[in-house]
Amino acid sequence: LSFDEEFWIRATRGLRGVEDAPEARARIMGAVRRLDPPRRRSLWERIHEGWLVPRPVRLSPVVVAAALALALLVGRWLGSSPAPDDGGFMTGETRRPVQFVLAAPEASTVSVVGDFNDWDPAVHRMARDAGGPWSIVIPLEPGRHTYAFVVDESVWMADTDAPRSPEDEFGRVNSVVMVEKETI
Amino acid sequence: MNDLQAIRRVLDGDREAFSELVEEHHGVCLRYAVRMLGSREDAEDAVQESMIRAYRGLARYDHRDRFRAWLFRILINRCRTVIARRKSRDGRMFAIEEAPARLLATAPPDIDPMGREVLERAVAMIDPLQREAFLLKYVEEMSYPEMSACTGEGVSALKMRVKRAREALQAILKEAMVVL
Repeated sequence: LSFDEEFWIRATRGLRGVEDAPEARARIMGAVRRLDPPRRRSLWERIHEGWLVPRPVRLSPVVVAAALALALLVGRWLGSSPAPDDGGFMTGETRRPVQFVLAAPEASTVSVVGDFNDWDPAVHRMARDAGGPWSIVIPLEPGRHTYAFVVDESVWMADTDAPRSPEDEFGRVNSVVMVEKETI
Repeated sequence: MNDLQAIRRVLDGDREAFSELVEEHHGVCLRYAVRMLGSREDAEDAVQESMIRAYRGLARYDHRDRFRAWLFRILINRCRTVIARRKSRDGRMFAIEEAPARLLATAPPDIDPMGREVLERAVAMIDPLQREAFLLKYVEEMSYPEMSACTGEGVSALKMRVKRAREALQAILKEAMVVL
């Protein structure tokens, strides 16, 4: 029996059926009828919450890049913002090849698991030439990634040649790789 | 009537329009709460409280959110509170009290389609945060960004929890099969 993604999707189908309870729905509506109706927020409340209360804002990277490019163009046009010395700006989020290497001569199989493959050992299996170290090249998005090696599909180990991340919530120590953004 | 229309009618003073939202979302909420809490009674209470909180706070609902995601945020927090109270009250992590031995005694060799009960019990035995992530991904079929919006946790942490949940469930199910 293989406990792969397909297995879990199939197995959990049986958990989707729970008998609904009409009497429970009726109890909720009974309680609702005893409450005052929710009051619409006044114009001032909406202005206050919308514009004056600090809140996290989520922006699409494309929008941020477009806004920065526009600001740069406007700055140049106004003559008040000289072009940066390097004359360039960040390209899009293109992936860059990263090589992972592990010397494990006794191992039968080695995989790389990390936040880039859902920590699934089946995704990135490493290969080796006779007698050489295990290696694999994986294209990764720029940024910080945590990873580890899984040896013989059972032993979890950090990369001794890379910085360590703090212990994760399960007490395991992983390694960290920083992938730089490519500039033009 | 869609969710937004029902919400607008409730905010215009039509309390009965809230029943549209209850009809639409009660089943899904109950399913999650039953699987999460392992007790039908606790689950019905948690869903009722969540829906009443949603009703009271409906004016604060941001229509750019999906109503289901907003409601699930309330429900997930409610379930977490119930579990934390149980734990502090009697040191019991899970509502389902079947010991592993009972699980092993009844486990069928293949969990599909016969083993729903086995998987139910196994799910109830794993860590609550792992169970939460597992249920949202596989039973509620949410994407990781949706799960993140509902739980307030980062996508990486959620992926890790799902992975750990699968490992824990796999170990329980394998043990059950070995005994058979």
